[in-house]
Amino acid sequence: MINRTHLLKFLIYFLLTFGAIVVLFPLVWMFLTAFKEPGLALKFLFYPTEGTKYDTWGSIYTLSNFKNVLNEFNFTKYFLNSLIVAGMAALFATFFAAMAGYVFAKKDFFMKKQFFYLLLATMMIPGMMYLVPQFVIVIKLGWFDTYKGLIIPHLASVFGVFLMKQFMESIPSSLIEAAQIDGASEWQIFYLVVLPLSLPIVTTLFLLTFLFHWSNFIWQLVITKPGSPLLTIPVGLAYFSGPHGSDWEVMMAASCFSIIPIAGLFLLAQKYFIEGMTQGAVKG
Amino acid sequence: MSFNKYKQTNYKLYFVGVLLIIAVLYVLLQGTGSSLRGIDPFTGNKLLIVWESYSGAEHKLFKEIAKDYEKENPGITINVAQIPWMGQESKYRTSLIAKSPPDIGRVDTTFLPELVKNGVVWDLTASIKEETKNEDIKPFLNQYIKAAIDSCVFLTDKKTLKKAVYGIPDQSNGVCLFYNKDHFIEAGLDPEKPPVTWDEFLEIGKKLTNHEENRYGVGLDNSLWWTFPFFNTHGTKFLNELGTECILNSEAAQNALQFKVDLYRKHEIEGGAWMSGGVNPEVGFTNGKYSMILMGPWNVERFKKAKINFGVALVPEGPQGTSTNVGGTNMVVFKQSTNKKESFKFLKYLTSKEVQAKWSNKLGQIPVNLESFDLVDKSNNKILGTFMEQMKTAISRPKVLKYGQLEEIINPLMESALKGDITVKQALDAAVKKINNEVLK
Repeated sequence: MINRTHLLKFLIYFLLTFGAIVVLFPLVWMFLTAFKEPGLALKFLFYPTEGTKYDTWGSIYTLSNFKNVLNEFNFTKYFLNSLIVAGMAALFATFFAAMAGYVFAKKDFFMKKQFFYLLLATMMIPGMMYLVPQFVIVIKLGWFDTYKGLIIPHLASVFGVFLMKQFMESIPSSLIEAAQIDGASEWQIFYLVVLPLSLPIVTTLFLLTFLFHWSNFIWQLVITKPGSPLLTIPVGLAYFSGPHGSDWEVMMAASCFSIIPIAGLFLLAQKYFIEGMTQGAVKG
Repeated sequence: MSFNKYKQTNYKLYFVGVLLIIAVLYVLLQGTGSSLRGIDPFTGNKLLIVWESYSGAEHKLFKEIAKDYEKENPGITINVAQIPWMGQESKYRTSLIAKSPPDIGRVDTTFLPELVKNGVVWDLTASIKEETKNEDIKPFLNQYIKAAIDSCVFLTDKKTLKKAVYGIPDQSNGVCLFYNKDHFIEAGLDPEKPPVTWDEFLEIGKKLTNHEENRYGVGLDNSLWWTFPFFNTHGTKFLNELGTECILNSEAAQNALQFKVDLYRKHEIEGGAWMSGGVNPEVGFTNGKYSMILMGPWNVERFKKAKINFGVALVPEGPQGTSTNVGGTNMVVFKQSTNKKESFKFLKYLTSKEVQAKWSNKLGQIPVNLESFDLVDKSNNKILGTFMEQMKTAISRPKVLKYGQLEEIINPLMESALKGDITVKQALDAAVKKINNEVLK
């Protein structure tokens, strides 16, 4: 007999499965398209049918798109550049946000609240508004077409400071006081007590920042010279698009490569990431 | 209790610290990019920096053409840099802010009005006169596809009607009628006899439509750009002569849009390709849902690879004959270039009949130079021949500062007309009013 609990469970599983299909569909389409013969991306064709022009698996699927990406485009270079830019930007931005978050969470200073609200207010300004001023500054500093220009302008993250502050407020001050009694310096308290306890939120912010920089197209486009050895994956992928659509099969093959680090990072840090998201949410 | 307890358990954090220091050093020690303008430091030649957004095969051929030009013109070095099509406008804008645009840039026809308005591209008129040794520039302009060169010519003085040339077209595309030959045969039609007029198009469309099989004779986009073939073939003018007023609510325009609306609402031979969430013409044609669509040459190879048995014909004739909308790109010389005249000479070479014929023969694309039409081998590429024929009657888009705004205004109104929420007249009247108030004011 089906009771109410079973029905509820079924409903939940049904909704979750539906949600999973919706989320996974673009990924599945990406993988399938990456393996499809050129010209078949937009054709609703997934398996061979006898008596048609597509009667073998080989007439539909191929590895040539991947070979094309690796041989004809500087994809390895784009990949490495993206790793350097996104990795370093995420590392530094998280580190600086953690330091600022600690100060706002555990230290007292003149007009602390007002200063914090002022910082939060800057989040209301759309990111695109910063493009031109940041570009001009980078040019004046002589950082055009350098890693410095790609990374440094995005190291200050107000969102990150906010996340860190919220999380670090939940760390008992008695732990910090105990470390002080043990003779720890201010830096030691931050580095050896607060930071390890904040690992879930640090991991979360690192992942979010990495993801942002991994796909930050417009800044990486304007700050590099055409044909520069510093081009990154988002810019590299844009070369597959033209005025009248895209080279979908090759573009999807390149996209398959581009999601590897993201997927790897999320898998590795999944535990901390979920912890970081939920702990921040329930903090009182 | 000693604080060393904490230290011993956090080696991982020290490792992160070391990593940070290495990363800082790497970033700070990395060299600063340098830019070279005007002179090639290796050869001492005059250096032309060209930014282009061609695709793979086009890029290779363009570089080959640039090399040929260097050989024929000692003292000139051409530095070709490929930029992505997507985001190119931001790229140009920021390079102009940084005072480091290229000498020559390839830009979309819709972006050129903004560059002209901001005074950042060089007026080529004087150079054309000097190069051709003729005060009349018309013979020079007439060598190009009219719609393509029209997109480069701008009115600079409304009183004297003085015009100036701010670019040279390097690529021009229009649309033709693509039809599925297998569907024609199934419907008992001659696959070698596509419709010539809109009336024939309607009759054939009815025969090709089979609602039970979810197959439609026609699949059409709704945007302004894709509606221009209807407007153009009905003799519609978008702007008045001075380009100061929108006149799209004329009787001719109403007839054109009414015909398009009727294909969907009255005759039910259009499959709703324009709807949000509908199957667009390209996908529908690929999968056999639509038998006839309007499409450009860029999809010919894709359709061939998808093994579709299709033909290409001229856009059906309306009261004013056949015509197409036009899209494409222009090459411009930036004012900040130190080698403006040399840049123009290269553009003249790039768009000469010989080079354009080479471009067309190698890539199967429409040449922009009409004089090269006879030099193109069309025997093995009938489709190219049809497109070249179509381009002779192409009409350029209205030249307004923000072409995108026109699309934003008129598309929802045309969609309302297609849905039957408002009449065609109401849609066009509202569009004209809004365009005059918001775009042309």
